[in-house]
Amino acid sequence: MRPLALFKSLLREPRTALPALILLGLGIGGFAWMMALHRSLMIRSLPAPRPERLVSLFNGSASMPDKHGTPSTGDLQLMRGFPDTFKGVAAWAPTNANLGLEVPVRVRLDRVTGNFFDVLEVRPAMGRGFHSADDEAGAPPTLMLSHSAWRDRFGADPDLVGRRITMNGESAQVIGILPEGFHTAHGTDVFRPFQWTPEQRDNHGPHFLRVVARLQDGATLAQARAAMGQVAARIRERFAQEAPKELLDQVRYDATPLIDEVLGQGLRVLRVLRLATGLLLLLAAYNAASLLLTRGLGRRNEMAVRSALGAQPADLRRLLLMEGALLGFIGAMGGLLFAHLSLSITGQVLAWSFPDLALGGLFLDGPSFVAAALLGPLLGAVCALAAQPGNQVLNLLRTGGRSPGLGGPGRARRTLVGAQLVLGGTLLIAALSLQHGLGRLMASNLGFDLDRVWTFQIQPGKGMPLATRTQLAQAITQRLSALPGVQAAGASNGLPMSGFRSDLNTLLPDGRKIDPEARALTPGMVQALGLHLLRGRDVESTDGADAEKVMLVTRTLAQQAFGTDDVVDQHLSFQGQPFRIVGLLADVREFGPAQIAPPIFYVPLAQSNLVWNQDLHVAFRSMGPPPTEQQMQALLRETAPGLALFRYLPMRDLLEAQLGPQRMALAFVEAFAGLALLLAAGGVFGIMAASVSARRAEFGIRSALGATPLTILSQILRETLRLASLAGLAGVLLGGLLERMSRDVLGTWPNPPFLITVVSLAALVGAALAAAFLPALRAARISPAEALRDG
Amino acid sequence: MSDPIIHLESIKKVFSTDEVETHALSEVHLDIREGEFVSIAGPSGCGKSTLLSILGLLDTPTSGTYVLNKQAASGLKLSERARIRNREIGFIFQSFNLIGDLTVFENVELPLVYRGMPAAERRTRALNVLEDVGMSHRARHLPSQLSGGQQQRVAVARALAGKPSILLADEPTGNLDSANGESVMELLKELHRRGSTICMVTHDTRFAHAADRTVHLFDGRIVSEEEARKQHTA
Repeated sequence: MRPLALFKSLLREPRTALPALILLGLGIGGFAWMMALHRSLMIRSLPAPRPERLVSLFNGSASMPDKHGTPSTGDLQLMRGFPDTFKGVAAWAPTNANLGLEVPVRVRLDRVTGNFFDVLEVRPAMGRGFHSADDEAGAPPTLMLSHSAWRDRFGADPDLVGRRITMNGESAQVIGILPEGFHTAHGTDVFRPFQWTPEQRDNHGPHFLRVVARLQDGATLAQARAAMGQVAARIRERFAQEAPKELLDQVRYDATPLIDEVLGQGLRVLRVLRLATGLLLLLAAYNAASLLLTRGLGRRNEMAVRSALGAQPADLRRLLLMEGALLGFIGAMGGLLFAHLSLSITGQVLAWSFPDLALGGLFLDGPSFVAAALLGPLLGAVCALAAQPGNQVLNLLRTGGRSPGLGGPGRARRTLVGAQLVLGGTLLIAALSLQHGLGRLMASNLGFDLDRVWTFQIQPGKGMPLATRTQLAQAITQRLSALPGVQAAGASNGLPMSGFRSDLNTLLPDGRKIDPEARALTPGMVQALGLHLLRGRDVESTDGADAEKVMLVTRTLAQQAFGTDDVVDQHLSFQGQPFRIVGLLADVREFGPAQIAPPIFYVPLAQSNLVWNQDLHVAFRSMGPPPTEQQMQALLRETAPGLALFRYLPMRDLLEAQLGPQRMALAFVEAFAGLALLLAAGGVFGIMAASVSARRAEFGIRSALGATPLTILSQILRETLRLASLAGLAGVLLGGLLERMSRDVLGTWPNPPFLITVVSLAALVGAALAAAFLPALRAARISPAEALRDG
Repeated sequence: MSDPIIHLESIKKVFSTDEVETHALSEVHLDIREGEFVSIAGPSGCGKSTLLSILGLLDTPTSGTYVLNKQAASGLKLSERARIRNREIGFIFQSFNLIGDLTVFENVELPLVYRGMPAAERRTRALNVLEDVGMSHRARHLPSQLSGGQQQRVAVARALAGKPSILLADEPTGNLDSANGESVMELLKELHRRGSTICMVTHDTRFAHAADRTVHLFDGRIVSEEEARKQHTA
């Protein structure tokens, strides 16, 4: 049969062909979307040859098997002792740096071992890679740039290789530019060798490395894990005299595929999405087959005539197969367009949810396109063959195992469509509940005031003495305070929701140990952030390095340490020195609105006596428009020359970034709820259309017995209402099961309010009734005389 | 003589498909009086079923006048036609046409459901007519669990449940073996004896002669009418 004739044949029954086309398009589009997303994440997260041969080596504690620790340089040397298992073992440590351009820029810098790119098997696009000599202590400093840093920061200067640039105030030679497709998951701009001294190289103290190894040809992950077991044994042996046995027994070293490590939580999300799109494809195919069955029922006479004229069963099958394939092909084309648009939206959602994720745009790649284009005709053909009116399986589904004739849709089909409605209802309730929960989180009391607060970071580095750092902070905040409209300005070593954790243990006078967060801040920071001072006073400029040591504590800390809010003039010991509590602050949700408020104390920056991290966070509250980025850079040039302005943004953006995972979960749940609802509606349409076709004679009889068109219409809608209501109620019950699943995402599960449940049920029932309306109308318009004559 | 329950005058029915016009009925005049048992006979394609469809308000004539129980059928809305079918007409089909998903009892009470009759009254009425046709013991069965003859008895019960003015039977014995056919015909004769008005389409001359009057159709026209033991030429 010629394609045009086939096409015309499809158009002959547009009532069933069009919905089947849309359903196949949705299913195949979902498949193409998933495949392209999966490939993008896998390939872009690990853009190295044979990524499956790369493993991540890590340490940890047997009591916390899910927590992957960072090995020390001494660990790295031990890990390198298995040449039969590993072709090479390399390490890196991500950090940030000030790139000395005309306007200093903050860049992501990875310190790496000299063999890092050899292990990854990544060759530079220009210049050379690191040699082992570059990684020797005292060797001239060298750098490699990512392709994007070369393009964005240096205008793709072809003569950059060999030139010297300034990094954190130190001159270093650019020796190579990495290829365009290579980037790390955290978007590294610059790579620089560690250049450890022999003492640093064998140090088991600081644990800060990420270790990657490439498996030898033929070596397995099991061998890598066994090798790490030996490393653990050697560590226990080495520290047997120095550390308690209980602690050594907990020591664990292990290996995992690097892609699992890189994708982390994303891998679990991907697995769930894979399952969801697989289900989507199956449901779409089932519903399409269901519609094609309806189509087949309407063509029984045509097929009988073709048979009578001598067509073999194989000829009829071939005709159905070609029609199905054409339907699938057209559906696939629509599906690919759907996938293309969805990927573009997904890319935006991911960029919005995770601003730091260096993923780039998502697009439909060649293999995904070809796979989907081939799947379409195949799926269409399978659906068409499965939907032959003579097919026993679908007949069973159609009739529910009862004798055919005037029976309604089978119980099995009703159950399957009901299950789809349950899925749609559950996801709809979940989406609306997540939306509600997110709104509640956004409006929750954080313990500080977000509005009209702007923040930025600078990176003075750990090498800057505390006194200099304090002076720098004071200079910046004084200049900011002098700006028109600025009410208060301050600096701190960490802001709420900036991700900073101090990890300190504090011993109370009664011997109890607590684990509070410690922050160092300048006068003005409490006011700038709008922290609520409940008792006592704020830190002041007189609380200098040589003055009495003072601190502010939050209510949770006061309660944990003293069991009362009356803590002003009490003392807490920090770094071996007593600090007098001068003020009590309301609790602060330091790690985001979904997390409980931790115990926190704040000491004046000048008295902190320890530089905890490289960054200094500045915040100011302004009633007027904030300074532009250029104005802020000019201010920094005067007060902190050489330091780059980084993440200059409203405080509210930090909250938005904090809610990224929730937003992404919401976006995906909303999308799947919409699709599930659409599929369920397609299923209802399919089952009701098939039902009307199969029950044509029944409606004829009912009409003959006195049923009016309205009676028949309402009968179909009542059947749908019953099915949708039951499924909706089941969906509400199932919604309770989502509680556990959603705890990871939201911290606490927002119970779906009654109104949301009612709205979801109404939407579900409404969608089902809308889908059933056309078939119902068709049933109401059946001519009883014709129906009875046709049997 | 009483007024006819059914009065057809110059009924014409033309089916138009693409460019072809098929004259299914031409100039049909027919009166059926209360208590009469009329059979319509004729070869296949002569227009018997079309005539029965028009009589049953399942179809409309292209032209002509149809008066059912003193009410003109032309210009009736779909819902009005349905209401008249429900109250005035009882159908018996060749292929029984019981609804497979409903029990025998539910099938029989269905016309009463459409009439909006209270459940208790429906139940009494349905069980009574099932008793009348000897099928009350099968009330909870599904049609697929009955023999053809039993299914047709249930169909007769369903047609009687609404106490219609006239029973229209379309080849009621066509799908039955001779024994069951005889049995169903006996049932119809019994109903006629009790006063029911019946119009039956059949091509089986044995059963056609069971009627008071047989109307012969040929090519859409009534060619003759034959009363029991007496024949008139039209």
